[in-house]
Amino acid sequence: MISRRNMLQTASCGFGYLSLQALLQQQALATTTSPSPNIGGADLSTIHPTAKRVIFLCMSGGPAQMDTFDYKPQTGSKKHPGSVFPFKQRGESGMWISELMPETAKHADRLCVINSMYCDTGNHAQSFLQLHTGERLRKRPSMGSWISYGLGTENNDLPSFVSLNASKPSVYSSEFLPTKFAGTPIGTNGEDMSKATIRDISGEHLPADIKRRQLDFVQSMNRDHLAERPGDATLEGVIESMELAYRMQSFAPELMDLNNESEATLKRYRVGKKLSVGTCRPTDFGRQCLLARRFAEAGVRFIEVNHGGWDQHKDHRRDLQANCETVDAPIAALLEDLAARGLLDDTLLVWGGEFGRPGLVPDNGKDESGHNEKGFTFWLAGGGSKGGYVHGRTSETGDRAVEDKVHFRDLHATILHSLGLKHDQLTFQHGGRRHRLTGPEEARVVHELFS
Amino acid sequence: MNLIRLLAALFVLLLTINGGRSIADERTATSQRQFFEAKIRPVLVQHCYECHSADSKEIGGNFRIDSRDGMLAGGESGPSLLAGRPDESLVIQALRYDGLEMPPEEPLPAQVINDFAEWIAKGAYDPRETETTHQSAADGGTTADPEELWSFVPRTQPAIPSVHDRWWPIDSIDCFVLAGIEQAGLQPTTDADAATLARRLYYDLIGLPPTSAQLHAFSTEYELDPVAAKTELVDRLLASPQFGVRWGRYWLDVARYGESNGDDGLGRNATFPQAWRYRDYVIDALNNDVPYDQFLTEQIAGDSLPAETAQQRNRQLIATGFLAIGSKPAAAMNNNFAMDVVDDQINTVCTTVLGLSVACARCHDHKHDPIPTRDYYALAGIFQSTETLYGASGNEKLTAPPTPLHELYDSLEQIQIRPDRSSPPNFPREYSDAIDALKPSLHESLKVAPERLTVSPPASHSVDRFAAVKDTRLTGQFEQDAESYSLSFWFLNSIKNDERPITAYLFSRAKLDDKSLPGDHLGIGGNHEKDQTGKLFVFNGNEKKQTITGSTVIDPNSWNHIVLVRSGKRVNVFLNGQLEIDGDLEPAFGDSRQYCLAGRSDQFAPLAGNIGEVAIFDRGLANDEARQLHAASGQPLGIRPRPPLGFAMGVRDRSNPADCKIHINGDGKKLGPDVPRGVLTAYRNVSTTPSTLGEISIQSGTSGRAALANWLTRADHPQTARVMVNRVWLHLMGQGIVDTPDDFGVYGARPSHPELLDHLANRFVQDGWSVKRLIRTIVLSRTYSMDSCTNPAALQSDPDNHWMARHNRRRLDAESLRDSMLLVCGNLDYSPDHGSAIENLDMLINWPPGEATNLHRDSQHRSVYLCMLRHAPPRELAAFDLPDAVAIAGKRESTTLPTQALFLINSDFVVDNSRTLVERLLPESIQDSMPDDRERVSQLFASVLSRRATPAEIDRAVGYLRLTRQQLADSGMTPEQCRMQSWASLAQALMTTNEFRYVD
Repeated sequence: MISRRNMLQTASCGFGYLSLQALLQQQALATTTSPSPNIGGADLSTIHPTAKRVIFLCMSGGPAQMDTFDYKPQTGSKKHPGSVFPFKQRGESGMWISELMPETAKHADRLCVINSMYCDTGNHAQSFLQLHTGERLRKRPSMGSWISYGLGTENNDLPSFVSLNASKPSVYSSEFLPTKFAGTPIGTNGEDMSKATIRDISGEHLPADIKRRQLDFVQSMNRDHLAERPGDATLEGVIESMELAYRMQSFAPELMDLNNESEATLKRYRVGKKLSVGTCRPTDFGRQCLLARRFAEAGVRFIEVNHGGWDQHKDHRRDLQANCETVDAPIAALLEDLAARGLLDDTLLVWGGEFGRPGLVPDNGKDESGHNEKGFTFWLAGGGSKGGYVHGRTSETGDRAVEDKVHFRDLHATILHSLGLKHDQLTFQHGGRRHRLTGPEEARVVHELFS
Repeated sequence: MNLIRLLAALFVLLLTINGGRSIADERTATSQRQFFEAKIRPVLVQHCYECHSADSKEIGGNFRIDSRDGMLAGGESGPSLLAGRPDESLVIQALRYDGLEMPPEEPLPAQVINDFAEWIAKGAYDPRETETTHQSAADGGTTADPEELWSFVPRTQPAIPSVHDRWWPIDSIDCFVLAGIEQAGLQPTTDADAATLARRLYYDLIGLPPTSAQLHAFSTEYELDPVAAKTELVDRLLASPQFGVRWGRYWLDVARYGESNGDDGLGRNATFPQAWRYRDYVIDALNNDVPYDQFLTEQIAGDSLPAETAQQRNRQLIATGFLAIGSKPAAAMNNNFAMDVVDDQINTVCTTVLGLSVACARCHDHKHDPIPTRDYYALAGIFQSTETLYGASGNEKLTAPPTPLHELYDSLEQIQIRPDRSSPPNFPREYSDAIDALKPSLHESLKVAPERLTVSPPASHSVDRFAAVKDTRLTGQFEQDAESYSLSFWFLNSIKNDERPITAYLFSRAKLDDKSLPGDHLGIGGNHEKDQTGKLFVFNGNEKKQTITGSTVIDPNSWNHIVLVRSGKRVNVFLNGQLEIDGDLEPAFGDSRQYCLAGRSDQFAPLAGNIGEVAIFDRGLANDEARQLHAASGQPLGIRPRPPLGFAMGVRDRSNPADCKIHINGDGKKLGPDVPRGVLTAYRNVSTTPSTLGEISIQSGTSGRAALANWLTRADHPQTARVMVNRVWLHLMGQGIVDTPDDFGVYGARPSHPELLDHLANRFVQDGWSVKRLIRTIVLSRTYSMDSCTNPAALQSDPDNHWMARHNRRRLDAESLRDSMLLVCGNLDYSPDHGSAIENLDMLINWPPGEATNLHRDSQHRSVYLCMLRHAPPRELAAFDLPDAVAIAGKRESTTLPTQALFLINSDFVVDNSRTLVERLLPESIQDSMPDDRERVSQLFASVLSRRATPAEIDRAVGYLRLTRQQLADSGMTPEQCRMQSWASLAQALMTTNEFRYVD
């Protein structure tokens, strides 16, 4: 049995103390522009980062690419689906965007559209997991956790990874990465976002400095407890998360209070607008986008903004229209604000879902669509990505990506690259092997997406 | 001509493939095979199979390319290839976009087309003659890899492995575990000490911590005789009613137990006010150690089991709530609602009991999945023949059409056996006189054609069955205005109660054929209004639109007596001499004197059956007179249904069980062939000997649930016992032998210790499916008793604890954390809470959207009794990975999040409980002084952590109290407030520690 004293001497190597030490280190680093260089012993400093943070606009369910960003004119052939909503060329780049996204379309020259995405399965749960973690069958750390792990945080008073209107825990979990890199959910799937807050973020029963002393007492007990249970990363993680929770109390409530935003801003973001049509869930997506901007300003590293309900099988047209209407203006407002604040330069926006959908043939009267994992659309904006650029191509019927194909793992590698992280070097030793976000197969950084 | 081309092609192929085989031929064959595999097959698979194989949704051009025969036979356009003549082969023409264009997206590269031409020129060698491709759904076959079907393979009787350290094992379980540990080059860690073991047992068996007194007592006994002490403790905990609270909750997780529907997809969330009865059933079943096979049978087919007492009957009906409590998508704009309910039931039964997800098979066969669509619809037939009773759905039909519920009674006598009314009534001779004594204005027996009623079209009459009617109306007129009137008659209805909107109209007093139906209309409800089905009602026309309804369901093909009495505004209806309807109904017949029998005034929904012994009175009869009209008939008096004790969600068989058709692509509008009701068939694919495992025999007239339950609980069922012992193992050891407890299928994990799994499953079945005995065996093993600490090297070499060389340390789950806090603070109420916060609320809890209502009530009972509203969970539990009750949750998440820390730091629940603990611990009278404080800190540690504080900890705590009190005093608090606040914050701190929240 290891004595308590021994443990105190050795524990400073463990993660339990990382926060205390890393705190100081990170604060020092916060003044420089480049991210923390020495994670996992790998040399990460050789890539010049173009982004410092990511906002992932996650459209869960599978957005229909042929009615949004991948224009496929109808040919009249019975077996040849295409876009059923009109498209227009936008901006100086002349990018085709459907009329379902009129506000976002105004930012066409900022968008970097990838029309040649593909992934491995048309099963929602598995593909959603793969999109978030790189792995579809087993639970693995989420992309936001990997990025937090790689870069640390810019703001010690907030989690480095938040998930707004969060989906299930497996997609924001840090799994075997230290728990301080787990996403913090704000509002769970389906919850009314206008009421969603970080629960119990404040309490009036004790003054703040007594709470601090109380927590010190708890942490001293926790450290003694850990000393007798060496090597338990979970217990170390709890110590971390207690500290973070304490700091969040003073910072988060103000950040989430939209009262000091102007009427005009709230209107631009459509805060409070909640459409409930078919599969489109009545969430306050505008509030989520405005919160995302505020979290980005505050230095949160990875912000996931979820919108559920893109699984429009029946009533394809009606439900897709409602989904687009819900997200279009808020996303445009977010792009506008980030640009105006100069944040778009180092914030990478990523828009997409777990797969796409085949197009419709208007003549046969069908208004139903299925899943298509062989070809679909994502777009990036900001963070050094090439605006007004369309990458890759699907076949004439849009049923599969045929040119410059981009797999989820390529997208992951590319996102990491933009943050200055090499996907094959951002690894973590667990269960006898080194894991990475992009998994065992070879991933390709899509350099063409960056100017 | 096509035929000649085909024959020519076949001739060439036969020569090429089946001709005499010399060594040179073999060599040629090898090189041709290589060519096919390298150049041809990959192209076919990649570019053609999607549309031209058995797996294709619609086979393009009716042409299959995934077998040699298919290619030779060709499709709608004729044979696809002529061996040796590429230019004449359709395949080449299509690839060249010459006439046909294949693949349709874009032509393949020229090199590929040249390869095909070369292949055909050399004879189109194709080795796929013996390969079986994926069979279609109708064949019920699959190509699943046997390894993937591991859980379908019958259990083995694994030998107990021999181990190196033969003194270590206590139970044969330990041999299996130790053999693995030794094989991995590891060794088991040390045994846990007495206090650790006791705390683990308390939490694992009853979900609560031991008090320091209990711990102390155990440690003392353990020192004397560890085996006896442990056995005694285990038996005591297993016998505690708190055991069912702990283990019932685990089952509720897999039963997706919820007390509201959860978001129906349209933002509505209807309460399930009776769901709590199922919760109590589960807790009781675990406490009574109901054998697992019986436990399953009750939940799947409890309604069909015999019952000796009312309690047993109630319990078995409540058990079927298992199939009714699922979350349902809205019925509005949903053609498949009924099938969605069936889908939830199939999925719940298969996942919970068998660890198999069959949901995918609703729409299509899957290449790797052993469950074909056909099997899915075989099961669907069983559940489609089952009526699901979920209740009012918050009185929102768009969420789910309302259904009745099971009625519960406190004695079997109350479930009255109704008199047999199937034979025509044989009246005593005086009956006619008794009617006449009340001076009717009309009295017709209808044994012959009546004199004073118009019968159109004519009916047939007989002495024993009176008038036989169908689409027949008997009309007449009152002699005076008769604002009050009465009517007596006998009838038989032959139409089933749920067959048409209104089962039958029996009588109208209204102006005939007036579309607005002004007047009284007496009828029997049909399927239009669920709560009226089979019951008498009186309706007063389209203008006033009022209806009063009775409560007795009238069986079709039974003879019944009716007396209808209108006295002014009052309407009374007597059924077989009992007052059935008693209410006010605005008269609407005005000055019309017309009436009709056996149909409504507009001829809608006429009676199909018999009617007789009709008497009309121009006055309202008194109740006694009405009763007299029945008493004189000599027929058995009706039985008034007594109000039931309560209601329960559940299921029952439909009256017309039937097989289900395959729904092509899961669509209710595209139906395929009927599939006989049955079970999964994949067992055939793994069995070397003929097995009956893929078959059940369903008793005719039943849904087949009883047969299904019987099948699931067969002693030789490969999955049922394995899945359950794995669930139990997971809860006790912190990890499953199969890491995916709800998925024993193709995509799930494989067992880490397959022999141990079978060994446990065999014992479980042999021990009479006793869950308590299974738990007892496991917790008394050496494996269970290991410490959760180990040396760094062991930790390093097996970080996931795959080999179980140590115990897994675990965080308390949501319920145990809350219950522990209540317990140590002296606030826990051990008694079961009765009912539910929403037991009297049939409502939508978040409609309109955004107006989520908090219906939870304050409770100090154990957490299992909190109201588990879906999508609106109790606040005290929500932060700690409570399952959503929509999906089946055999294994909960165990996250570490700052939001959990915030709950501990700031929530009212933790703060309030800390205060009450301190109020209990600190008597007012004692003044604060150092020696007392040290003593009280000790007491606090003992209360919260069930152990003595170390001197250093006491120093630290006393220092904390002093500084805190000081600071609070500086802020202007009274000394008493300072004292309480500082102590309460210390108590809260102790409950926040990892020591409190983790179990070693």
